[in-house]
Amino acid sequence: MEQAGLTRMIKVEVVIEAEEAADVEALLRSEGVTGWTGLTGLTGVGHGGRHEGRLLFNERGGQTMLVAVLPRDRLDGVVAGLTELFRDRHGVMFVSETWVSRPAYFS
Amino acid sequence: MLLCRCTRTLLLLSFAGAIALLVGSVLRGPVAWSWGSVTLGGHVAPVGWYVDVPAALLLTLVTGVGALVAAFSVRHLAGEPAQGRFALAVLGAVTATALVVTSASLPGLVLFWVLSGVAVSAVVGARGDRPARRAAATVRRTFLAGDLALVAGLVVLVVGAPTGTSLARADLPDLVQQTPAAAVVLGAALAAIAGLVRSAQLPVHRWLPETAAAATPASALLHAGVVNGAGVLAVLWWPLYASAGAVLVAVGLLGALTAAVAGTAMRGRADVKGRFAASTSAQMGYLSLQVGLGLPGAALLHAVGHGAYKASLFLGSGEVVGRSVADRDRPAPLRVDGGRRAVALAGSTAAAVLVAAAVSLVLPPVHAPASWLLVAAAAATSAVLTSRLVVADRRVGRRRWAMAVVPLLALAGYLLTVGLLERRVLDGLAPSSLPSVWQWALAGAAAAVGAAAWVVDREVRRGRLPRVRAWAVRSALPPARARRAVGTATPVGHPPVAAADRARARVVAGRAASTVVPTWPLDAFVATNPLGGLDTLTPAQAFARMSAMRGTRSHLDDDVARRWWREGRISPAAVVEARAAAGPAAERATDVSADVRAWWTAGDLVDELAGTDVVRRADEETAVWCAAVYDRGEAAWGAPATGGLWSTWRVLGARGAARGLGVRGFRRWAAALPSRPDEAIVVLLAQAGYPLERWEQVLSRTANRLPGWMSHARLRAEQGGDDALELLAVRLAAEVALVRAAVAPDGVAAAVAREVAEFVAAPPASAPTGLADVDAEALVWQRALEETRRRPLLDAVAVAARDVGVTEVRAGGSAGTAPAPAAQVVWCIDVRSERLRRHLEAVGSGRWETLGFAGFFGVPFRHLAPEAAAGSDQCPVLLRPRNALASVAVPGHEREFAAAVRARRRAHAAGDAVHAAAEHAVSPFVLAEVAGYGLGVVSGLRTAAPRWWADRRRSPAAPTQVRVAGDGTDHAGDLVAGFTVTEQVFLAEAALRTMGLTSGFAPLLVLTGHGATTTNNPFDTGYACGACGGNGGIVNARALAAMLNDRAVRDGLRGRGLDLPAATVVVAGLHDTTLDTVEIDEVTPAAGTAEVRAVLAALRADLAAAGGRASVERARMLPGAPSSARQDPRRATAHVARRAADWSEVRPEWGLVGNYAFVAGPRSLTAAADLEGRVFLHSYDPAADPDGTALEVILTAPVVVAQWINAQYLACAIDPDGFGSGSKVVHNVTGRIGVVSGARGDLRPALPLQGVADATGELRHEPLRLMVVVAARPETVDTIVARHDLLQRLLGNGWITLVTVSPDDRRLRRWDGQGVWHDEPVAPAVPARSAGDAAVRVPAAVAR
Repeated sequence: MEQAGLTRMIKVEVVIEAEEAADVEALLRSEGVTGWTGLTGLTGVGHGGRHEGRLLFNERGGQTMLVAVLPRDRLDGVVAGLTELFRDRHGVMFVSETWVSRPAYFS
Repeated sequence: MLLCRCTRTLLLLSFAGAIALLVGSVLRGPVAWSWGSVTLGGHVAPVGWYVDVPAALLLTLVTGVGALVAAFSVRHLAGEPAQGRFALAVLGAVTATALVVTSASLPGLVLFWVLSGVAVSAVVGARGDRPARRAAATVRRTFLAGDLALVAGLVVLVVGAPTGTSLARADLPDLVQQTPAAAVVLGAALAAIAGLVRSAQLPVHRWLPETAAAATPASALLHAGVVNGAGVLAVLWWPLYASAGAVLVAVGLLGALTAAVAGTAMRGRADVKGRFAASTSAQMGYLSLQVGLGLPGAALLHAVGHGAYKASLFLGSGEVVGRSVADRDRPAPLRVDGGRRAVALAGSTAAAVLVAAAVSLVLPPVHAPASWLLVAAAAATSAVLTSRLVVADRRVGRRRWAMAVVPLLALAGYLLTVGLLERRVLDGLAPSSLPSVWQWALAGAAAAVGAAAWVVDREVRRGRLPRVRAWAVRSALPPARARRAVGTATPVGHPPVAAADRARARVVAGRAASTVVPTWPLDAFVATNPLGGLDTLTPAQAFARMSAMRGTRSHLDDDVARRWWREGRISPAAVVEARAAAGPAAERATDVSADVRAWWTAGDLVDELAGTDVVRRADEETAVWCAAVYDRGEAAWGAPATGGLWSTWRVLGARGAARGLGVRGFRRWAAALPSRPDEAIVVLLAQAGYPLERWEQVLSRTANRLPGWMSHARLRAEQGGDDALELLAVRLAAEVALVRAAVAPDGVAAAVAREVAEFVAAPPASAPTGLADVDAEALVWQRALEETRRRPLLDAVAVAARDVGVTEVRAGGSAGTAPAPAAQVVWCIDVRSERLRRHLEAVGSGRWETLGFAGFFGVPFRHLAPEAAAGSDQCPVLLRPRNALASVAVPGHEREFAAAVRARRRAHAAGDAVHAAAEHAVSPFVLAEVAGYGLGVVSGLRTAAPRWWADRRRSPAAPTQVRVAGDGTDHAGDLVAGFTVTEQVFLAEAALRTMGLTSGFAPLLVLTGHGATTTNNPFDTGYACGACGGNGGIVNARALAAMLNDRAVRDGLRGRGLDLPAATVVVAGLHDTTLDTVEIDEVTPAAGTAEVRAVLAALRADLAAAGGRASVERARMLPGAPSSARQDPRRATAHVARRAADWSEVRPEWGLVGNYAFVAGPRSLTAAADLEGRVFLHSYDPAADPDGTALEVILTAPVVVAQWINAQYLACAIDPDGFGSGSKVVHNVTGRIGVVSGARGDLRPALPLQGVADATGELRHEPLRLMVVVAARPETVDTIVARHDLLQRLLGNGWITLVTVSPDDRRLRRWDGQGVWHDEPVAPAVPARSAGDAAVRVPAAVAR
């Protein structure tokens, strides 16, 4: 990958209740994560059963996924915070390696 | 009430007498009565009255303000526990003060002066609660010093004067002449001290802000009358003052200094009453300066003008929120900036100087050179006003030049009036003996102080002088006398905080903060469940935990419940059933979190062991900084621009904390803390010694020490800030600093320090405990009350389901045909709509069909008022608007519309100019005096004839529509302007299908939003439409109406199976819930046929009749309604209109009081029942919603919002002071966010006491959890609930009781919280209400 001009980074994907999204975004911001992508109105089946997509008159219901890419040195805080969050909240996180072409966008 | 009315009558008569005396004294000279004399120390003192012009003027002020306050208090204090005591205290204070100003002798004046002080402290303490008693004690202590000084001054004069000297006030010049100069000076100095104390001058000014703990009318009386003590004494004893030049100089200098210092503090205060208090001290400083300059006549006129001004401001202090709403919707001004602004100021100044010079040539100042300073002050005020009018808004057009002339004319009028009064009326107040050079020196010193204040003001506005800024914020704290240092905090170094630790702290802090729900500012009141952060628990558990964390009540008072049971409001059978059920274990069981001590922090322990006030200090410190930093424009200086709360407090707040907080070395200690709030929390918790497992408990307790401010911080945090975290950091730091100082070697005993160290290091307790017996008993009462109230509704629904069916019966509807209505009227689901719907249906005898739907009509948007830049979000807070819609003229009415906008621009420009002048360093003094005379008359009119005054103030509205069309590319700010046709079709279809209106359309479809009309009410938006974000719903109705009338949208709807006939016209209306009126927009000939317009005319007539009946029904429940209004619709209509217009009214309507159920189904399920305006009604047709899509929308949005409303009323009824905002009469609007009670403290979100309790203190709202009845199959509901965690929490934990009425077998079934449905008892035979039966039935729950 490095030969292809790509840089190794960490990708964190978080699925949480929509009303918790602001807290996770605040955590990401505080740990120096400069950008992320949000997917609202998730549909699927998981530990808590089936979840439907976006509600017509309630944007605080349903689930949201946040996808963030960050350098390795910012991971500890993010993971520690999310782990603490999931002690009593619904949600999951996926942490994986990823490669990006524009590292400056993520640091 | 009776005592208050008697007091009002007596004081009104006194006021009339005072005016007669004033006229008499002006025309015929002093009026004197004497009943003999007494001898005092060999001197003769007459017993009687002596009323010259100054005394008559003061008497007019005192009795006038007293009468105004008493008249205002009749309704404003209705229901206050001490209304009678307050009335007597007011009568005593006014009487004593009247005797002060009319007493014929000096000893008589001193005697009544002392008595008036006692009466004033009784006025302050009349409420009898702890803050009022404390404030009254402060007043008594402070006044005592002044009273002793005055008595000593009298003794000096009596001893110094030759034997046999007359002690009559009329003979004071002789007494002064015969008394040695030293005694005269000493006597004058002591009298001046007494006056300065009463007038809250430096350094004895701190008593005045503390009186905010008293009711608002008490504040009006104090600030308008009592506080004029310095002026009263100076005017009445002027010969004494005039002969003591040194005293005059001292009084003048102190006055100038107070005017500058208090004026500066005022500009930094974010609470309205605090600003007014600082302003009063400053105004009294100006008055003292006038006295010092030898101008008692001018001081007298200032006292009267300012008194009327301040009385009006205090009594109308609730209007701040209304102005905030008006500012949001104001037409965007085009300011004049840069060089033109300077030119405007220079031109205005030149014009004012020319006017002043011209008047002075015609009528030279009487007492030159001192008077020149006052002429200059008047000219400066005029210049400020004129220049501000010129630059306020260029779009006002040429009229702004005409407006700018008004202050110049006012200047000429003022100078001429004062000149004539001083020559013709007040000529008895001779100039002082102060040499001219001293007058110049004093005037120069005053001018220098004023200039310094102006420079300080300018520098602070530029972000400089942080020390001044911090001092102004801290001026809101209690007097320093009560703030002895707790000890010293020693700085502690700390290693760098690891990223994992700070992230963990952030999340734990967020979890702790989430126990407090966000609340919205009062200019967009949105009901929220105060226990919403604990909805993972049962209500009983949540209330118990709140009780432990905050000290709130956890259930309905047992005595009240038993009384209701005796009165039959709780059915004995329901009690038996509830006791037998005894509740599932899950509801009864609680855990250690219900134990108060389990939530203690070190501060609580130190306070208990050492008797300190660590917790209170930390609360007060945090609260004043919250008010300053979160301020949304109340303080003239705005919020400090130094970042968030934590960084502001750490840097700015650290200045002066040694004295303000009571921690020596605080600044160095704070400087050693991290600049990031999350890291600071880690360091602070470590420094305090708390182990990791105690963090959440400590932070939860910290968050719940100031739940009001935390709720606002949570709202700000939702918008992307770190506010909740920062607030926790500040509150934690204040407490940790105080505890560290307390356990330091110079603090409390070492044994306490050891115990505290052991306490913080201990792990949290975890053993579960059961609810106490009393709580288990409370659960029985709660359930019995709920079942008693629910049973009649369930029976009515069961009967209707059995007899009529569960699906919609409409011409062309899904379940067959019915006679087609002439019009369909869609109302908001708000419980208040039910009353008017019921009466309209009865009056119309089947001509009108009514439906219920969320009042935002399914169209979420930001509304831009005509030419406004900002806007209001017209949707539930569950949604975020992405589109902006503007109100524009209806075609053909463009000129009318433009004229209305220009009129609003002029009004706002004038308001801006007056506001700027009132906040200026120089201009407030003359402004207050001049404006006061006008406002005094206005206050009288508003009190005596509120409806008449409101009608005069109402400006005609131009026909307006909402422009909904957009192509998806235009933007208004960050939102898309308008909706595309596709989006409109989507929204219109969703609205129609969700309310089950898919066929059988009538020729006229009226969409009725709702709003309310109240006056001088900070909670005004609380009566508006919650579904519209606390705004009126007319614009949402207009938006959907415009969509449904659009041909392209109808084509789109037709393509989706919704066929609106071409002849159907959709029109918007507004239901005013305070007035019971519905105003419907016009249908133009182009839009509708003559038949449709005839239907509209008939509908309007029936709505008027229905409104009258609804008003009768409401009048039977409104306290203070006359008996005629409870029978006669015409009188009822007049009565509710009076309530809406009355600025002293604290209960304009009952809002959503009584709400307990939500019914989603066809109207036929409830049409036969009188639901007493207590049930949310959402139209829904299960036959038109086979897959449950519409039901899912209803359960996840309207039901959720209804549950918030229900829970807010529930909690506020259980503890009006703990969960509600307490009594309105001590509310102090702060930061344009909300209210605090008294001088300072936590923000008070939620409903006021007057929103849930009547004038006798009896609860009008019964604390009932929401029951939701839906016309649906249980399995459909199961499917929906299984998909939504929120519904599972609300239903499973017992916040909502869910009942279905199945369209298959028409049976009712109740969900038991465990996922099992139980059949409800079979419906009894109940006769249905006939269509023509509109007989009003008083709800049994509130009947007396």
